[in-house]
Parts: sequence; C-alpha cells; structure tokens
Amino acid sequence: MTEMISPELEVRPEWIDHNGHMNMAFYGVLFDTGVSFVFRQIGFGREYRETYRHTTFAGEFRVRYIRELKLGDRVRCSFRMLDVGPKAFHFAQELRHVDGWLAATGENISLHIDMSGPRVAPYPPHIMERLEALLEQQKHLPRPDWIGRPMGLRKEPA
Amino acid sequence: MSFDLMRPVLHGAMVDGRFLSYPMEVRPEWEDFNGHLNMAFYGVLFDWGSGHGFRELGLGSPHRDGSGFTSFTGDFRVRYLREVHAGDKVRCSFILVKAGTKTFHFAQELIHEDGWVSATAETLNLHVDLKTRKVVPHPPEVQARLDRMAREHQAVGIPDWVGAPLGVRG
Repeated sequence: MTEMISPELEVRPEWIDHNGHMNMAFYGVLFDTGVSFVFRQIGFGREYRETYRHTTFAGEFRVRYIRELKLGDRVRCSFRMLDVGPKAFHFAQELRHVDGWLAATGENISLHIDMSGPRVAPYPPHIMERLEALLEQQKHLPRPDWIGRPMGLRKEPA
Repeated sequence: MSFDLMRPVLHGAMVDGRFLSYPMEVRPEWEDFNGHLNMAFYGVLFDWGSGHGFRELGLGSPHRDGSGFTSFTGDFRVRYLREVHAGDKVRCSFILVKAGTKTFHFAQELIHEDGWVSATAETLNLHVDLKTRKVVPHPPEVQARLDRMAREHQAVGIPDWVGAPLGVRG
C-alpha cells in the first residue's frame, strides 16, 4: 500500500464565506480530517493518548490554494510521507475534487508530544518503525515539486 | 450558521510598533481531542484578525463597499508555537512584508493577552475581480496605501521567521 487517499469529504455550508467559496481556514479542517485515517494506521489517536500520555500536535502547516471549492463539492485527501525524524515527521497532502482537479496542496510538520510538558518527545520504537516503513513504502511516489518553497512574491499571476 | 456571520468587526491599534487587532476569544467548539485549539481554527482567528489591516489598506468587504473586487488567499502558512485553549483572548498583529501590483505578502502573530506568541502566519493575498474571478491590479489608492504601509513596516523591522523554510529540524 503506497498511495494513501481518504474517503470522500464534502464542503459544508458553514464553511462558505462572503466570496461564495470555501473559506481558506476550513481547508485546514479538510486536510486534518483527511489524514486522520493515516494517523490511526500509524497508531495515534485517543487510545494512544490515554495509554502513553503522548499525542501529536501540528508544528507547521502550509496550504497553497489552487482552485476554489464551492458548497457541496466532494473531495479526497491524499497523504505522502516526505521525511521522518526522531520527534517529528514531514508530509504532503493534495485535496482533489472527485472530478480529478486539484483544489489545494498541504504541507505539514507533525510533532510528537509528551503531554506532561507539553513538550516535543521522541517516538517509541514501535511507532518509529511504522513511520519509517511508511516513508520507505512511499519513497518511489513522485515527490511534489511545490514542497519546501519559501512564501512570497516571485512572479505575479498573469 | 455560516461562520462568516460570526465574524467580528475588529479594529486595531498600534502597540509597540505593531498594528494589533482588538482581542478575539477562542471558542470551545474549536478545541479538538487534544483539549486545545485545533490547528485548522488558527486559520479562522488569523482570517478574522486581519480585518483591521485590510481596512487600513482600503480593502473592505465586497458587499459593504460595492467595489467589485475582493481578496482571495493564494498561499497560507502557520507555525504553531504554543497552545491556546477555549476562553483564551488573543490579538493578531498585521505586518506587511511586501506589496506587488496584484498581490501582497503579509505576516501575523497570534498573541495571547499575557503577551506570548501562540502562532505565526504568512499569507499571500490575491486581488480578485469578483465577476471574472481573475487576479487583477490593485486600484491606485489601494496600491498607494500598500506601498506606504510596506515602507512603514520595513522601518519597524520584519520578523526573522518570515520566509523560513519548512521541514523537520533536529
């Protein structure tokens, strides 16, 4: 299993703003919901939190908005592991309309957190194994060319 | 209910050289299973918290000002530094990094009322024609305000985290 793609998600009416499209902030909700199945497969979630008193926090998150989403649009979210460290991992996501077009890209750093701090803490060995296995399984997938780029004005849209 | 109806109309004030919004409160329904503000809802606070900056630039709400133009977000990035919880009061700074003719790059800090920074954000804003949905040049008076604000904010100093690369460290 290499390509990780979420079930379909739908754009809700509460997320539509004065521009008549899905507001920028709620892309975060879709991206967050869209990768929860991957986090569960790795072993994270409520049970992990209760058992180990550790959890995951978002460290960084970046969205590139490619094409507007409207009320009722249905999308799928993909997950692509990019890098794994002892306390954090870096992954990329695409939010694609069910018709196939790209709505937005996401880039994330997920941190492993010791809740007694809270502070960033190393993954236990069994989690580390799964993260590294996922990285290995996905490494042959094309690496997105939009990751890690600095933000800012480069070339203005025509 | 559309969250947009809950959008507060925030004014701003200059505090120690930074243009800060009035306070916003973190809503309980925005907390996740970690018992803190969920990562996605920082976007809502940053969006609401930019209102004072946009008004200062002459970029009001399309429905209020009837200009036929609006703003879209092209690119958005958050660095999460320290959690906030339901009931916490936060203010947003507005820092204009660079102004183009159809786009501009601004940065923000989400500042807890106790003074510490919960998160930072960077946004690439697009000036859009509402009918065609195309990115178009700013009107001259908006461009003048952008250029002036960019000079003022450069003089205060742009934070060093602006434009930093994203990746696993250490």
